[in-house]
Amino acid sequence: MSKLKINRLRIIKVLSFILLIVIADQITGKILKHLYFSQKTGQGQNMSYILSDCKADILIFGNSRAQHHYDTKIISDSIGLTCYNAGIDGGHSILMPYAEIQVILKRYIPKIIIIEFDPSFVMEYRKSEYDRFSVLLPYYNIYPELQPLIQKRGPWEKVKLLSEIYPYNSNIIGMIRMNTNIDANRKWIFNGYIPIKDKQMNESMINIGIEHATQSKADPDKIKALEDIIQLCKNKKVALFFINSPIYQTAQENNGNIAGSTKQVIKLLTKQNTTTIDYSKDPQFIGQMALFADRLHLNEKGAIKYSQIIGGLLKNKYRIISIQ
Amino acid sequence: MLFNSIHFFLFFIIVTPLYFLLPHKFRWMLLLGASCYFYMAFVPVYILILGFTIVIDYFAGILLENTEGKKRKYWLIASLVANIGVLAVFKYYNFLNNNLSEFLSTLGYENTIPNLSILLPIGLSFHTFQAMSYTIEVYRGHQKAERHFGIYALFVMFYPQLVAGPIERPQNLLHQFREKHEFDYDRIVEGLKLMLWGLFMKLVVADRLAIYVNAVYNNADQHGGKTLALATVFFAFQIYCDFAGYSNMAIGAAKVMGFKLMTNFNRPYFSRSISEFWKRWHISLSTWFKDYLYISLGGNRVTIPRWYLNLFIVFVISGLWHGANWTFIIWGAINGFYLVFAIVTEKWRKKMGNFLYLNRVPQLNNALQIGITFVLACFAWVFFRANTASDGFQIVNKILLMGGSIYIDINTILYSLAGIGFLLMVEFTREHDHHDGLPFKTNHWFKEQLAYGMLIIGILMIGVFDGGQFIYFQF
Repeated sequence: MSKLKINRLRIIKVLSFILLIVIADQITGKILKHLYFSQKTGQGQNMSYILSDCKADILIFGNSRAQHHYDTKIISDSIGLTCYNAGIDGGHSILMPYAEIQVILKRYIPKIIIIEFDPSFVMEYRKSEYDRFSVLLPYYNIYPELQPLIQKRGPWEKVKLLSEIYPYNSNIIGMIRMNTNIDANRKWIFNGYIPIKDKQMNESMINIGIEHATQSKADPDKIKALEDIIQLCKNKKVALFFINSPIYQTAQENNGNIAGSTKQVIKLLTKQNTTTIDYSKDPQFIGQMALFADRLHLNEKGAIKYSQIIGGLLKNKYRIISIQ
Repeated sequence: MLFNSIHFFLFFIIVTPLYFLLPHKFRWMLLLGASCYFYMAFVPVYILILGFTIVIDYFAGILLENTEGKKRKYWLIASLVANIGVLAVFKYYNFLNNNLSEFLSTLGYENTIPNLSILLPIGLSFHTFQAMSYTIEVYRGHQKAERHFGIYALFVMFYPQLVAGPIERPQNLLHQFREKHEFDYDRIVEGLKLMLWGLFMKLVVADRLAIYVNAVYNNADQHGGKTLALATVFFAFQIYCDFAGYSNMAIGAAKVMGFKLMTNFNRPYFSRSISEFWKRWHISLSTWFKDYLYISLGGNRVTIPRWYLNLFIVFVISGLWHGANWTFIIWGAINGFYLVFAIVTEKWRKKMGNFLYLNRVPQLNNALQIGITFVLACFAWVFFRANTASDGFQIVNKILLMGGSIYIDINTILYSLAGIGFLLMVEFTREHDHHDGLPFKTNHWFKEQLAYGMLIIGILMIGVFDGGQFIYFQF
């Protein structure tokens, strides 16, 4: 075989291999997309519902503390409005609710938005936080509002998204589970609220999960997101509540100290005339291990008690309450 | 710059074609410039440290060759002191100072010497050891001194193996920079396939396992023995796939340009003894210690107690090479103990094998030996991974008690088991067939491409793209 023919054959081989990869990526990506958007439960289904279908009157945003603390049925029954818990497990910052709220407010106007506010929500950049925006990857091409946030994951995110598979990276097992009845026990999830069942805090857990937030600085990007959320809600006439739910503390710890970044945000929220409520030091929860699953999370019993308080508060007041 | 980053991908697809397009006489310049850029992508200023050792060793090599008699030894010592001095300052100073503080405090004194606030330069131990091998080989007369400063600098800085090895010998690598490497399609494809396999090991297996291992080992006090045992087994595969994956990428990247680097891993978890394990694990370091320390100490041509001591010393120092922490020293000491124990009990173990008729069932015997070696390696890995020595002892204690329930992170465990299963399947096939070439090698072009295509799809589907650095970069 002549050298020319050999080279031609090699070029054909290389191009065939590239073509094989592109075709495999496209086909696999389409299958994964179908699997993702047909999930019956789980985080993916929850996110799709929040972004594209949910029309609840009350929306609750935040991290795992939001997801596990706000019993949507109790709140809904108390106030007579529909309620959905859009909290996401995994320590997200204010940027995630910011992205979600931008998408949702383009589609419909809820009556009330509650943001579970935690000092860490405005802390300076933590790389792991941007990694967690991977939950938004399947929606990159659907909602342009999410793109700036997704691109914070890294400078090459756009390039990676040329692959049809990449948005569903590491999701295959979860998608199969959520498409089948393997997780049938998740039926007790009600409108996004996931109670922490059968778990109670004990003495050995007292020192786990304490973050020294007093040392942290606020991230300007997150402060900007906070301001934008407030403005968006004002423009659309949505009642906005920033609520910090209970954290396990003993009576001795409950000394009224507030984290540095929290002080900065409270100052901003007060200036903006926004309703900010701090239940983190509520006497009803001080030293009550029976109400907590761990130091940062209420268990089901605690969540019921807390949601009754929130339901009553929303029903009776709709007004600014600032504690500390 | 990490091999598992798009930054490296772009770097590679620019440097490699340029390498072949340039006339041979200019190629070293390109590679040296590219290597500088590669290294400076981490912490730019640390290139000065690298530059310092390069200059010292370059002149030491020439002086060693030009001098005769006792002076040669002085030049060698000067070179070694400079290299080890850099390691001592950047890697071991704070460790020694902290230990001094603890020792003095037990005597009721206070140590007023401050610690240094410096980051450990990436891959310092690797390129320092490679540079040391050069001066030692020149001293021994096995290698001619390199007179071309640029070529010598490239020998120390060659980007594929600069930050995590393989630690090359000058006899193998140095002359390759003077040879003209032609564009060879088959060799390039083989190099790329090896890189892809390494990337798969890193992203799909190592970084996935790291999620579980880090969650458990960083909160060891909150987990029971079963969880810690599982995390330790996972760590054994994590560190293998992390480091062997890097080595495959390094060897593959060099191969694309026509360079042949030494094999660094040879399916170590199929070893039937710890001695064999060390012939298959991090081969470039094991042979370095054998050639330059163990033999210098007298090797096995000494009295039996001294031989045992030599082995033990080599492994303790090998542990210390990995990091300035008691955990690494204990890890090295455990491995040293294993080897001495294996020699002492060799006759007894043979007798026991005969007594149990194991020699009549070689497959069972092999499987038992592989299993026992793996368990012994895992036991030592506990200290390698533990954050502190006391953590390590606590973890061993918990594992032996086997208490508590297993911490279940269902997705991570399933992905991890799938990754380990696939890896073992590939490695078992290669071990069984005594096949040392590329994985998935067949005579069917389409089948082979399909296998590598599936690796790419596998990486996209279940690779961890948010994973961290390579473990061995810290050494």
